[in-house]
Order: sequence, then structure tokens, then C-alpha cells
Amino acid sequence: MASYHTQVSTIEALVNQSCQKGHRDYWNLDDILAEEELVPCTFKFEAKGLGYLDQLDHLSTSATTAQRKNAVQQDRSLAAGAKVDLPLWLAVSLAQRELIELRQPKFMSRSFYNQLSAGADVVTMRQMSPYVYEAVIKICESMSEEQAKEAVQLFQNVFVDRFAKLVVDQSNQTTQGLQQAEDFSGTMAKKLTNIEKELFDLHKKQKVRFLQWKNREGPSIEINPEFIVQTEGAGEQQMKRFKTH
Amino acid sequence: MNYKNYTPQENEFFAENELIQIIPNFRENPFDFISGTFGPFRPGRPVTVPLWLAIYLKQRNKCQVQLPIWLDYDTLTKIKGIERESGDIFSEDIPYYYFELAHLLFTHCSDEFAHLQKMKSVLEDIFELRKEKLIRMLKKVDPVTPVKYLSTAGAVELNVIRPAFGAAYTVAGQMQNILDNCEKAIEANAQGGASQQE
Repeated sequence: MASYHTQVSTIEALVNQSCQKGHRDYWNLDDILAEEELVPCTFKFEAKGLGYLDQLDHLSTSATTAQRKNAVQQDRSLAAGAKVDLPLWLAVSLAQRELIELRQPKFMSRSFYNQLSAGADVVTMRQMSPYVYEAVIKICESMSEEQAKEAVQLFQNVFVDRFAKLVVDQSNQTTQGLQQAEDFSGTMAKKLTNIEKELFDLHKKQKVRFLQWKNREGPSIEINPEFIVQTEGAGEQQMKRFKTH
Repeated sequence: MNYKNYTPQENEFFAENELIQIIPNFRENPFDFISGTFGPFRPGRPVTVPLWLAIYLKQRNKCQVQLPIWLDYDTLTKIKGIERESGDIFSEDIPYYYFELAHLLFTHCSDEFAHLQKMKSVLEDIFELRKEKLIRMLKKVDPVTPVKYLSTAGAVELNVIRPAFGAAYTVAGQMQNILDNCEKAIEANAQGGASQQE
């Protein structure tokens, strides 16, 4: 297994893990956030006392703790065939035990596919979910191969297309004023998913770094003055000897 | 994230190890370094040393630096023409660290150049041409066969595009892995189904 310390990038780590089951990085924040994505599911059996799952979305966002407690204590049951939105981490493990059936989330629907194949670079993917690619890869693990193949194929093309058109081309524009800002993507950020945003920032940052080096603005190798103070008298001489530009 | 990419400063540091000819104006026995022995130094006799030593001596007026053959206005203009016309091929006449070498020599040995400003602008043009060419070649990620022949692309242009492109190719490649697995599973299923029917 790849050593833990080399996985500095969240993107690469994330996709790497999705490919090899069982080698997940437990502490990867992006991985955890990607698993929060809601997926529509159908219960195959009656689920006793799980009625509160029905309003999970609503509860987690607005309700107070008292309301939440109430809902849990109501002890309702979910009937067989009930349609509920569950977070991905729960849905996948329930689907593995064949207790529920996964249905296609909105970013895997036929109409969204058509929209994507018509022109992927104008779609605001972030609206669907900031973790579309990761979510698709994760869902595909528990879907039939034919469905998974179609979805991954499509999203791969979309990723390649959007990388060329949005990340690389757009990063050529407007370099002034960005030297100080750490968040490079700015208005673009509304359109890009998290992977794309990270790639965009990466590309921009490297360009800025290169410019800084060329104009001699960035960090350069210098002598540690404290080191020279130690050798008192010869200090002046040493400074002269190693002075660089 | 720069764990697989050197910073431009680091690239410059590596470029300083390239060898260059100087004409010293002092008499000295050979210098012994970890990277090798350089010298002996005799006034007026050309000797090959690493660039960092050449710059060190130059700053103390101990030598004249002999510019490399390719670092010449006419040669660079010719290379620029080649770069513009040849489609996907990079000129082989300049070394891997061409930009860093030229940059260092421009700053430290500016008195050796006849047309310093003109040279700087031509070099900048070559770099821009090469970078655009490289981006154009790599922009369309082909996940099935992600292999491109980059012949003699230089250190700077690779350095500028490496982080984002490396990550993007990884992501596309991982998706391709999933696709391959799916295809294998579909095939296995189809064979399994066929044998059951028999």
C-alpha cells in the first residue's frame, strides 16, 4: 500500500481509495464529505423504528435537538417500499446487506446525462453536488456493471472535457491582482466541483510561483544570520563570502 | 501540493550543476569537490567547471565566462523559427535546463552579452511557444492511452504544467481503471450466462 505520507493531495488520495476497496483513508475530510451526499433508496422490508430516517434531510439542517429527540422517540416504522433519501455511507452499506435498493440520484438521471453530453462545460456541476465525481464512483460500486460502466464512461468524458475547457483555458485569463489572493478560482468556483477547483488552484498557483521566481520575488536561499553570530569575529567575513543575490 | 514537482528555485539549483567553460585569470591547483575535480587553473587557459563555481568566480572578477554555443542571438532566433513551424516536436538544440541557465547567465554575466535585451525577449518567446505547444498537446486527456512523446521539452515548461496535469491524468486514469474492471465483470457474466444455457 502506498505510504501514508506521500498522499498529500486530497484529490488523488480520494480517487485512489475509491478504486481499491478496503484501503480507505479514514481521516480524509473530503472522503467523509463526499459520503454525506444524499441518495434516493427504496426499502425492501419494513423497518421498525426507523421512521426518523424519512426526515433526515430536514432534521439535520433546521431542527432543534428537542425536535430531533421527539422524532426519534415517536418510534414510527418505515413500510416496505418506502422511498427515503439516505446519505451515501449508510445507503451503500445497507445496499450491500440487500436491505434497500439504490435508485439513481438526480446527477445520474437520464435528463442530466443528456445535458452533460450536449455540452459539459456550461453545466454548473457544483449545483448538483460539490463531490459529483466521487459520489458517482462510490455509488457505482453497488450498481450493476452495465449501469456503472455507462455512468463512469460519461463522467470520465465530462471530466476530461471540463478540465481542458474550464481549468486550463480559463486559468490563462486575469493574472493581475492574484498574487496575494490564495483563492484563485474566484467567480469560477460557483461552476466547478471540488476536484476541478483544486486542479484550477493548483495550476494557477504554479504559474504564480514561476512568475515570482522569474522576477526574483519569491523565497531564495539565504544564510541564517544566527549561525554566523556564533563564530563572532569572522562573522563579517563569512557574510561577505556567502552573499548571494 | 508539490511533492512530485520541484519548485522553480530547486530547478535553478539543479541547473547550477551544468558544466560551463571559463577562462580564469589566476593560477591555482585543482579544486576537489564531491561532484569531481576541476582545474588546474592557469591564466588564459579555458577550463570546464560547474556553473555555480563559474558564477562564484565571476562575481569576484576572477574569470571570464564563455557562453555556450546555443546561447547566441542568431541561434536562438533560428530555434524560435523551428519551434513555431514544427508541429508537435521540440527543438533539440537547447539543453534541458535552457531557461534556468540563460536566466542565471543573464543576471550574473550580463557584461558578456552583446544584445542582452534582444536575447531576453527571444528566450521568453521560445519559452512561451514551447509552453503553449505542450499545453495544446496534453490538454485533451486520453485516458485509454495516456502516453505522449515529449521529445526534448525543457525543465521550465514541464515544471509549470506538471502539478495540475499530473493530478488530472491520475483522476482520469483511475476512472479508466474502474471502467476496465466493469468491462471484465460484464464479460465474465456473459460467459457465465452462456455456459449455464448450454
